[in-house]
Amino acid sequence: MNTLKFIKTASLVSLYATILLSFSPTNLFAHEPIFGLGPHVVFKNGFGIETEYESERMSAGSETEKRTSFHTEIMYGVTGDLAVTLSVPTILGRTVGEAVGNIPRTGLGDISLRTKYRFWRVDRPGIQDAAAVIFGLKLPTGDYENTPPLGSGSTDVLFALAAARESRRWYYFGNVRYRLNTNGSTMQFGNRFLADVAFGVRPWLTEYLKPDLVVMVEANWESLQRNKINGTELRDSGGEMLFISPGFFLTLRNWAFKGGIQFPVNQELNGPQAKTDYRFALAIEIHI
Amino acid sequence: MKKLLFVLTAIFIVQTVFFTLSNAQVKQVRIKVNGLACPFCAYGLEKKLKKLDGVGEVKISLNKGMATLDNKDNQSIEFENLTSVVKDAGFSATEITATVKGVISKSDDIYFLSVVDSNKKLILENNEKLQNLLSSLNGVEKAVSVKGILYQKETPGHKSHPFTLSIQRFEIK
Repeated sequence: MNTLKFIKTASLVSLYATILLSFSPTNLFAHEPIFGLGPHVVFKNGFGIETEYESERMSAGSETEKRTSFHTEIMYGVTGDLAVTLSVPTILGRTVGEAVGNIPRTGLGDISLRTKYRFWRVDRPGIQDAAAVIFGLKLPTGDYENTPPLGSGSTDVLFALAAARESRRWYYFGNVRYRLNTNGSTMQFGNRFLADVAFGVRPWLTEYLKPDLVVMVEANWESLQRNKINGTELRDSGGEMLFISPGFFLTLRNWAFKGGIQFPVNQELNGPQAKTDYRFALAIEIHI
Repeated sequence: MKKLLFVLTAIFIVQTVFFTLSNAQVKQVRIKVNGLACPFCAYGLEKKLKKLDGVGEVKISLNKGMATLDNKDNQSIEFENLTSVVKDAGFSATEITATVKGVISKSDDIYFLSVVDSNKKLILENNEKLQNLLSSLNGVEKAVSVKGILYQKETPGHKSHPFTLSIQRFEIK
């Protein structure tokens, strides 16, 4: 393999990895941001089950890359303030660059486990202020040896801090996340730092057992370090991205339907890389 | 003769206790809940409250920040764990108002109301409403229906804190 082809292939692999890892599954709680995280947990001994459809498109010149997947998440409330979540992604299809062919693949992605501990909560009439720490572990369960890969091949950890004020009318969320990626096979994906703020409003103050709508807008900022192959940094990888993301929640008793779209407003990527056109998520969730 | 007196006394005590308990009930409970902001989150509260013994219908008002529990099948609502159940659901109970049917008794200058189908009793806060109630009863042991604020009074040096009812309204049956 000549050097030029190696660099091109490495860049594309890096790109897939970017898509794979930039895909931030929504967190499992209906009244939280779609793309960010919030401090809410499910009630003690309660279960939350969510199925989510996600889609993302990236493009570089005439080349377009798409990825669709399903995420199934199961959350369990250990206490009223502590929850554990199992996230199982299923990649439905990936259409990638011409260097490795347009090969749609389907299969299990990287399973992740998360714990969320709401360490601070202040309740007032119709208002709840809360903050939580989140620790996550992503396991290398997705196939990373074939092209395009379905997983990163590495065990990665996530640390996050989230806070929110939720009232009958207004919602305010903020969080920071840091994802520490370890060395997988030959590829080590760059660590990621994410920060999100969200603002939501409930147009109609409906009562319990009535349909309830909340509309929300998020600002999602992501900073990606460069990826490495065999310890060598890939020049055309990493960078910073900022998204504006409108979304909604529609709930009825213990059922929730939610969705949102991320539109990039600024992408400062290192070197020539494909840029995100949009990310889309739609989910249905039940608490039992 | 002494034996006969003992037996009759025992029968009287047993009958009194059974009469008291069979007429005692926590019929309705209203809980002021802080932190109730979204209908979806309130589901956990409904589910947790419905699991309590004796609870039939649970109504939740988000705008009032209130959960109302009605008893089922003439059973008494389990009131001991209300605060912790609300906490487990992710909220805070700030005030519990209970409607209780029972019979008042007195021991060591403390008034009690027997409330459930067991040996559990509520202490009655000695306030003006209680004095009005006692005056109305005029020493006659009758079933009464009282509505009041239920709370646990912390007693230094004691692990368990008995439940106390501060009467707001009463009705003599």
